[in-house]
Amino acid sequence: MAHLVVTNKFDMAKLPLEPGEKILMTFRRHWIVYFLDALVLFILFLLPYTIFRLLGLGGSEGIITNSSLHLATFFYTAWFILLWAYFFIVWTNAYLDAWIVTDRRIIDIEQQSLFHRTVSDFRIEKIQNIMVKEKGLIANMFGYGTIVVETAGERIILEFDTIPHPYKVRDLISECHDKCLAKLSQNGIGGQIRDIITEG
Amino acid sequence: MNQFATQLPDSVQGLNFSFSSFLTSTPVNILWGILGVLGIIIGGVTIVLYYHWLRYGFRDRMVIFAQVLYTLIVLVGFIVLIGSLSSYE
Repeated sequence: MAHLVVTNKFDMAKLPLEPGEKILMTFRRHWIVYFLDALVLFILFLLPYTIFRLLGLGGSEGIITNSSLHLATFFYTAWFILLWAYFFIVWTNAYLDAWIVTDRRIIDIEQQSLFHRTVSDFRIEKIQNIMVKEKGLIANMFGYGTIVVETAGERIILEFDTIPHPYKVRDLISECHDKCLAKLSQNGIGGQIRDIITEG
Repeated sequence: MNQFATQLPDSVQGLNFSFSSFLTSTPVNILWGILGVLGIIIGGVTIVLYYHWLRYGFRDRMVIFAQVLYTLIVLVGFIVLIGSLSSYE
């Protein structure tokens, strides 16, 4: 039976690893996620100035004079600070998403919004299928994609978007899976696990 | 002024006048009020961000870098805001 735990942020604030459990790798989202967010906000930052120029309000015969320059600086700086703070909210939401691969489990942490955090995990020996999706020209160019891991039995699916080097991650998980099964075989319970996977 | 500009409807020219008027006659008290509201909003956002950074990203290099960068720019931004308002007075 596949093991899935979904807990709230307070239970899993500090990942409670089992005794002897080692973290092999931690994956976060590809930098392109942050870049695209930053690009959108940069365009928004330039928007008031562009509108201002398009309406012809800032030319040599425009209305910006020394007396009103301070006021324009005030409003533009306020606009910039709001965008700056918003960027860090978005960045924090994306950066706190993580996939942690240990020698026993895969832990998926999703920061869906600032006050909505989900942590799920399942044991690595339950994995039945690992799928890598690289969709689109940009994903292929920059080497990021989606990894989907399916478990046997209850058909639990874990999905992680925009992960860098998805094929390497898949290889690492496969390697851990094989080692885990070999270890369990030595302990005499590998056959039961294989039965579960075959049934799934 | 080109041909298009001479044929602008009155409403656009009116906008120009209103905007000019707005930039030269906004009361300072209102601007200090706006600054206060902005301070409250950014203060709240900063508390929430620090809460997440310290709770889930403690000792992470990227998070520390983000903390420093965010705080510095916000502080400089508020200094510019206060400076521009003081000069406007």
